Amino acid sequence: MKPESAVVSITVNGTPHRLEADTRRTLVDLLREDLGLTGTKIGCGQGTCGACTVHVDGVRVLACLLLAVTVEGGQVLTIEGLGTPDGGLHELQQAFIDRDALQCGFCTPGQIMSGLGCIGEGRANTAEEIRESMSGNLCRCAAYPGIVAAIADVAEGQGA
Amino acid sequence: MTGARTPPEGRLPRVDARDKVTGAAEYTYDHSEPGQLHAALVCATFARGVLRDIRTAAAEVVPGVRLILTHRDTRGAVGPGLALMDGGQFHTSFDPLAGPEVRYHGQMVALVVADTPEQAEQAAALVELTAEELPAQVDPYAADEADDIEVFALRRGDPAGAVTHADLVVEATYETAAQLHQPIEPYATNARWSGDRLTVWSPTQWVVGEKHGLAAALGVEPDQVRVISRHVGGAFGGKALTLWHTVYTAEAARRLRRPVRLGVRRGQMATLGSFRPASRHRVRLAARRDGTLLGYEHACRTQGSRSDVLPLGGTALSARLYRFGAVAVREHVVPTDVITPGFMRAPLEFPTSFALECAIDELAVAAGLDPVELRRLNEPEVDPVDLLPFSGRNLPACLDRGAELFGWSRRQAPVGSMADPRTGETLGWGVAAAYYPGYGGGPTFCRARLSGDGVVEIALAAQDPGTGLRTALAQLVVERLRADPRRVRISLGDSDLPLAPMAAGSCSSATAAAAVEDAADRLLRRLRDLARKHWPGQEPAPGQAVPDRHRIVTPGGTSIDFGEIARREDGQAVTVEGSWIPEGLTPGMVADARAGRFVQAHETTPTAYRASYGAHFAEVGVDRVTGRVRVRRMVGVFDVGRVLHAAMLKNQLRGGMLWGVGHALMEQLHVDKEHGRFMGVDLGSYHILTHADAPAVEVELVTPPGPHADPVGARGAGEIGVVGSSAAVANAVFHATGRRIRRLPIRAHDLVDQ
Ligand code: FES
Ligand code: FES
Repeated sequence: MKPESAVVSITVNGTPHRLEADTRRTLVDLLREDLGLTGTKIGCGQGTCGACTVHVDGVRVLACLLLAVTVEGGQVLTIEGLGTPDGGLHELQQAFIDRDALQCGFCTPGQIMSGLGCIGEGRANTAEEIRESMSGNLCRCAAYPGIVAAIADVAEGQGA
Repeated sequence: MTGARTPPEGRLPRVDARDKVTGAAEYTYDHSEPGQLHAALVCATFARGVLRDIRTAAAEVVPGVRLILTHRDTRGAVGPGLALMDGGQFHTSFDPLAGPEVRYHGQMVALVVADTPEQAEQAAALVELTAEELPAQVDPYAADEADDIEVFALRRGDPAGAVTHADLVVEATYETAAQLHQPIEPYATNARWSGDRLTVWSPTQWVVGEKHGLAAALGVEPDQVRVISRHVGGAFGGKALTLWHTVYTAEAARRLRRPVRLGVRRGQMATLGSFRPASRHRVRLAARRDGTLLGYEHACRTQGSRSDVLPLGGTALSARLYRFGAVAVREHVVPTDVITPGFMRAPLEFPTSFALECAIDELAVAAGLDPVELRRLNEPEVDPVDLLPFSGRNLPACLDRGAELFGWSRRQAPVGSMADPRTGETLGWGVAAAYYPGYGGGPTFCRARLSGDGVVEIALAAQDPGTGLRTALAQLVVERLRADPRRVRISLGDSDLPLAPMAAGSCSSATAAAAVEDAADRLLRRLRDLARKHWPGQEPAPGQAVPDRHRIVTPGGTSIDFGEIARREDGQAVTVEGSWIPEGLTPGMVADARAGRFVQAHETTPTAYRASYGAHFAEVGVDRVTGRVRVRRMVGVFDVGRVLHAAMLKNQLRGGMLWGVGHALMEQLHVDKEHGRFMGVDLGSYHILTHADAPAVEVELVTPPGPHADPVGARGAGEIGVVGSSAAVANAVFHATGRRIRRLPIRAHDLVDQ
């Protein structure tokens, strides 16, 4: 093993992986470069845009701020892991389409993963609450009204 | 909140939305090639001067490092690149690796390639620069006016004379800040050579221009270069032109004979490409007591660089907004030590409209008139500059409908007279007009191909950086051919496809639509002919076979699937070409476009002046203790010509209006005078609107009264949403507080007593 590497065991979208990773490699780069899961985007690499949002052990996190080796043993969920096994969409993905909650789409995977977190945390009761809880996810196309509506649709459907 | 799952208007949902919500859409940095290497940039850490030494020893020994390109290695091997203004495709003619000269802080001075991104980053951080530094001036208002370059002047009548017999004169100076595009997708490049053929994946608004720009700079023929840009993560003008890091990534790949990928870091974006320059405007309006305008003078100074001269004043457009009487406008560019600024969403219109639309509000106050009324009062019959009739001017209708939707009649005119008892905020209601020229677009070609499985594929080298072009075109094909949307495919973003223009000037959708409409009509004629040929007994009278649900129905009642027709034609696909050459473009200009030069028909035709119009209404809440301004709601009504797909247009218009809110309240590049640079260029310091800042926005479209400007009649909506939006906010702030803030962004301390 190279001196700057370490072995990390990580489960991504239900599939366990054991990988040798550069100790400087971030979780988002591990997902993208080592596992080819490029749905998670990098907008800043600094924790300021939210494009890299994934879930680790059920909690939304910024994958650009986590070194991959620190996620040892973690359960990671990415945008690629959301749909149903038969290729169907998750209801929040469908709600994003229904509300046209995107333009360029670059922030979208992060918005959806963060939106799921927002709903799961019980912070999607009002539009204002959603906006507060989603403010770590920037959308330069400013598709914000649609994003909030999509999250509200799903939260309401779940009786949140 | 409504729980209804209403599908978006315009029938077809965004056709690439599924790929975007699943993460399947491939953006440049998502693309990988076998054996790909990784690049990182070294940028100048001083403002201006000459590099004496670039020490690379420490970087070279980082494991995995393959190449470090500096000006010492590249001289003569690359370039030159012509800037857009000089007939080329480059953002700036200044090649940052052409020599030891550093013209601005953050200038790219080296490119490092290594086996992994981490190694490249580490090595880039170890490159040491020594330089002979020179003083730098980044603040345009501190620059010597003697260096100003006059780029435009226009006069109609004698507005200065009008001042002498005017009852009312408004004279003021307005400023807009330097701003960044900040698309969420950073710049990135992927380059791969196969022998002497280059393929570049690049987020660009202009695959054709990028291809020609790269070919010229790399010394190869254009047909050796292919540029792919299927999805672009936001562009807003910042990805319009070829940037030098793209060239050098391709050059590194050529030297290493390996594919190379570069991911630009957020903090480097500001000094590798375009930004919106700071601007200062001196405006004088003269009017009669009843509000009738007599004169408009507007002089603006816009920040520029020392490498290129780019006129971005926009007064030629604002001079046509009202019946001004007399007009005199002048524009200067102020050279400063920055990378050349460039096009950013409504580059000409945003700054100018902020100044003019605030001045109009000041005049309304001076005249004691409602600001909507004042605008209506000065509605021109003809374009005041060229005395041409307007094509589809609909500003009064936008103002009226906007006022109605907003509830403007309930506005209490006295300053500070409206409040929200629940939040304790003082409320202000403001209005501003929006306009955007109706550029005619460039020559556009497209291919329509029907294959045996019945799929209709429309292909052209246009781009959809989030504008919804794919969806609008799919909608058009579905309507035109009565096609099954599941069997319509729109292919864009590839320079190998038929020629199409840059996604710019809010006209690319209209021109693409015109070419696609032509191709669809040709395909339909072809299908009818083939139906006649292969089903002879069922022959329709000419022009009678009608399409229905992806089928041709003959008068005899036979219904033939499109795919069956293609299969019958020797199993071959049926291919037709469509095109659209905008009025006013000569064959020479079409040839220029083919050669990769920027060609765009003007908004002024021999018979008409064509533009889009709109009106913004904004409600702000101001906390009188802290000075905090919140935009609580906005209404925008626009006439952007024929509507190809209402949901796509409205999404863009809303986005533009929200940009205006960000421009009004937070967006600003601060100048670090000591170090001669912009500071706070990343998203931690340069604030853009977040979810929490975004007000409710209602957008409505009104349809044009007059004849359409062209057969398609659509004028695009990418930019007009931001024009006037900030002015509406500033005017609302005045209505709430009585403070006329003439400099953007409006800050809390502008509104509290110091
Ligand atoms: S990429 Fe992680 S927050 Fe921006
Ligand atoms: S859709 Fe473009 S950044 Fe959000």
